[in-house]
Amino acid sequence: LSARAPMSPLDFHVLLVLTEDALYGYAIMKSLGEETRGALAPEIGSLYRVLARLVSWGLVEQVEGADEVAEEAHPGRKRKYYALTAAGDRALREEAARLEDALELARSRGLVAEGGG
Amino acid sequence: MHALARAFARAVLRSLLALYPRPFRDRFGTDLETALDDRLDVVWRRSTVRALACSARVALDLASAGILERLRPAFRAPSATDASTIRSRRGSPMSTLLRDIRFALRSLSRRPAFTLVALFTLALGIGASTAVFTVVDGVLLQPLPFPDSDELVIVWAFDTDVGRARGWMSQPDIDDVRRLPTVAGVEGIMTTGTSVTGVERPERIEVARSTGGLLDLLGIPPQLGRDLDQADNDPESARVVVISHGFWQSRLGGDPDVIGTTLELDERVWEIVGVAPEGFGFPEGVSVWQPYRLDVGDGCGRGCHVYEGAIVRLSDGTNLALAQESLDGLAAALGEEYPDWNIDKGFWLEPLLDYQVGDVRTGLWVVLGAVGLVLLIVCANTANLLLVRASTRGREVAVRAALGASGKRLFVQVVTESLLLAGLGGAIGLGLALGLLEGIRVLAADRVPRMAEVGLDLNMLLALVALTLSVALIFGLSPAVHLARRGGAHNLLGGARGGARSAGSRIRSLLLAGEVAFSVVLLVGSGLLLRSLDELYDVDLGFDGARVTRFTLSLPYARYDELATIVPFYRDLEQRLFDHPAVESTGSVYGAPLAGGNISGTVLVEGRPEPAPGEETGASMRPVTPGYFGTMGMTLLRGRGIEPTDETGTEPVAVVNETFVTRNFPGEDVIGARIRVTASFGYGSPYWRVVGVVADVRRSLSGEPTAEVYPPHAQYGPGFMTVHVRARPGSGSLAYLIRDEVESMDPNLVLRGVETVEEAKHRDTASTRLFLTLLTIFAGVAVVLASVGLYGVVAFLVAQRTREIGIRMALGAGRANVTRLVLRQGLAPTLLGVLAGVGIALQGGQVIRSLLFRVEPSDPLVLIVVSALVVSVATCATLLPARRATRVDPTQALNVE
Repeated sequence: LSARAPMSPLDFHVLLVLTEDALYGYAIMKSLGEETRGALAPEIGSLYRVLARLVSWGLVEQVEGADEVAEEAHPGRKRKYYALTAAGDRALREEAARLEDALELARSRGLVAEGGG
Repeated sequence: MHALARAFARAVLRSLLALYPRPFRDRFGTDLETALDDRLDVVWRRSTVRALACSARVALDLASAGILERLRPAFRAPSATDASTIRSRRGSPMSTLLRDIRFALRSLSRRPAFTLVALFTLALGIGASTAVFTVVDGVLLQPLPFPDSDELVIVWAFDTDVGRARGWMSQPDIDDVRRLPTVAGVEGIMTTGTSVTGVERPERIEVARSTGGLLDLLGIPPQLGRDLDQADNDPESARVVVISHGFWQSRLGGDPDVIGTTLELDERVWEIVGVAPEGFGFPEGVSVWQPYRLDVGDGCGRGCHVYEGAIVRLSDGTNLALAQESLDGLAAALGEEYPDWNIDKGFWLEPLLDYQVGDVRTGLWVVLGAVGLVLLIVCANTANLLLVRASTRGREVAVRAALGASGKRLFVQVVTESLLLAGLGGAIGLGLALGLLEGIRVLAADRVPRMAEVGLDLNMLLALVALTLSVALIFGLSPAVHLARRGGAHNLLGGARGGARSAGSRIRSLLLAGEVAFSVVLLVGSGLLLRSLDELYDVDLGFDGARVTRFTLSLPYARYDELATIVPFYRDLEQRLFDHPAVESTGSVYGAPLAGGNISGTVLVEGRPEPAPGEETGASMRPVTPGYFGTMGMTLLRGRGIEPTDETGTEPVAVVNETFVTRNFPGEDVIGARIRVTASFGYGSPYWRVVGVVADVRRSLSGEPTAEVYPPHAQYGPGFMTVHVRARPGSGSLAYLIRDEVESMDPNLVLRGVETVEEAKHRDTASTRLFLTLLTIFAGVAVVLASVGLYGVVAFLVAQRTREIGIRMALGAGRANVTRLVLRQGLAPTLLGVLAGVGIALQGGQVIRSLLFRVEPSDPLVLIVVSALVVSVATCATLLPARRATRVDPTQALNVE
């Protein structure tokens, strides 16, 4: 997997969104918008392409969720939830470390204010 | 409407899922559907138009994601062998797509007539609706360009017994409003013209006079310096102004050290303390903001209504209803405290956006509706064309199916063809939309507010592309499904022998009827507006404005502050103009018809008790010079007019109009009575003896006459007058003569509004003409499209029935017989459509009632003429193919195939 790095910012953020909890499609879209302050806000159609890609790489898996909210909003319909796999967790950590290194490099060249910001 | 639009959007989005490759859909399809529903739940909480625009964005994303996903080698984890086997078996998806596009291009160019008609239709529909949507979005839907602009309202004063009108406010009114807890900020405002003086070429500019800083109130920081504040409004303080960015750049060369320099306005020196940022123009067209500097203590108090309105920013957490409630409370309290000035006076608030666009709102929505109908016609036409094409293609499809093409491949090819058609149509439509937008900008300049904010933006482009895609998919999919399902076996043998009674024929007829119905609706709309315009031009204004040129002067208060200086100026000016051989007569008035300016008050009659509250009648003051009635050709009904002998020192006299008499002296003789009106320009308002009665004149084409009192200018003022000059027959334009004379008298004065009365009349019908023009264009487009559709379908049916017609003729049917047969084919849906269209027009006519003048939405003349027009156009469109049918040679027809 490390051969694939660096991963795209969108992939990275989708994985990041899923670290806390498994989420369903629309919730991922909403969290992405919030966590990136609107910088990465794919529409539903594009988001599912990303999800499909991450599933096919084994970084994310579909899980069934006991979902009362979905039952209420769209009766008779079950939402699929998306969860980080162990491989996904690993890939995320590797990518975060890579970004950390890159940031350190940028900082050493005076491109970033000391101490982040 | 909302629910329907939502269902429509949902259906379109669902159908777009078909663009994703099948394995993707198998795995994620249902979940993606649920996610889309989640998304729609949120999107459709907004207004219909916003939600549709947002759905369009979702649709666009869905379509592009689906296509991109198809272009990816495979979404499963690709092992090397797997990928290569797929590639070798099917060719790479990219090359398949290119092949499909090439194939579609070839197939489209093989039928240039079909392709051109379809492209023309699509481009027209997409282009027109995008242009109009952009205008409606920019003018009506986008919030005003101020932070938290929904908190901004205008407060107006009004007479509670007359009803809500946009009445003016006094300085104390505004100070009282400022104290309300629901109000975070308020500034009174009035706009007027001022001359930039002390320079070589004096120039007239628009200024806004206010109680304080408008920029601060609206939340816009100045680019340089500071904004005005309430301290600047003190008549004792220094004279300071804020200038607009445009004025700064053009007049002062963008001098960065402009703050602290001075400017001479109406011969008084003002210090520049601030520059507004680029793009800030509130009110529209204003170059300078200055404090009013009213002396409230000295004469201009509660009864001195000098502010056109008050811009208010509501406090946080207040809503319109609460704010209105507090204004009602204030009005009641003031009425008790100051019965002389505030009895029966109310305040009402209007959202600032409503005020700015209120006059054109109905008209714009009607135009949007019109363009929507045109788009529906476009859809019906495209659907018909594609249906017709699908049925002629039966054979080709059958051959290809027999040679091994799968249903899916055939499907994809038809979809590609539709998408290509829609894409090309959209591209042409984009050009058309830009052109149309420019056209609307020219037509609507000065008549539609906020046009400066309207421009091509991302929303418009997205809407355009989404519109293209949905039109293509809705209409591309139905023939595609049709074809793919049949696979075509029987067509290989059956040819096109099915004749006209196929399942598609009923759909085609219904679509045609729909097109005709929409065309009728649009034609009725433009017919009604045309009749209104006719009625407007027929209105007898009560004066004869032929050969009359007029202009407005505002004498600067600094040098002309009393009757002794104002009156001789106008007398000299009129005399100098009159001495010219081309001039027949001259006369001046304050508050000229078809122009701005009005001052009115309550009528008091000497010898009668003061009217009880609620029983007062009002009248407008129109001070005139002696030549005015004659110059405007007004009719003197009784007594005498205003004479040169009605001087400043002589007995105050006045002429009144007919409406004044019927309101205040019904059945009595008004001549000799002494009356007073509680309004003045500061030169006093005595009791006037009525010496004459003139016939009513209208102030605008669509308005009714009001009660008017005409005192002599010599006894009443003001320095702001509109001078009318009637030319002798055959003499040319008076504009130069007028300019020369005014300049020779006072080179610092600036002429305003030099125009003929005919031009003013024309301007008064501007908005009716604008909407008439737009509606007529779209009605015309609709009729052309519906005729093209009718022609296309009937021609196709004739071609399909060549065999049948041949047999009929072989069996002895005459030409008349055949013509009738074909005509019936085209006219049946036409008549159905006309009936439906008239029905819709009758039901929907109320929508445009406010745009009409003396015409009922059910005007029989319009309905009859439109129906006759549509039926005859349809007959022509049907006769062409009918004639071709009669020339069928029976032997040839039977040998076809």
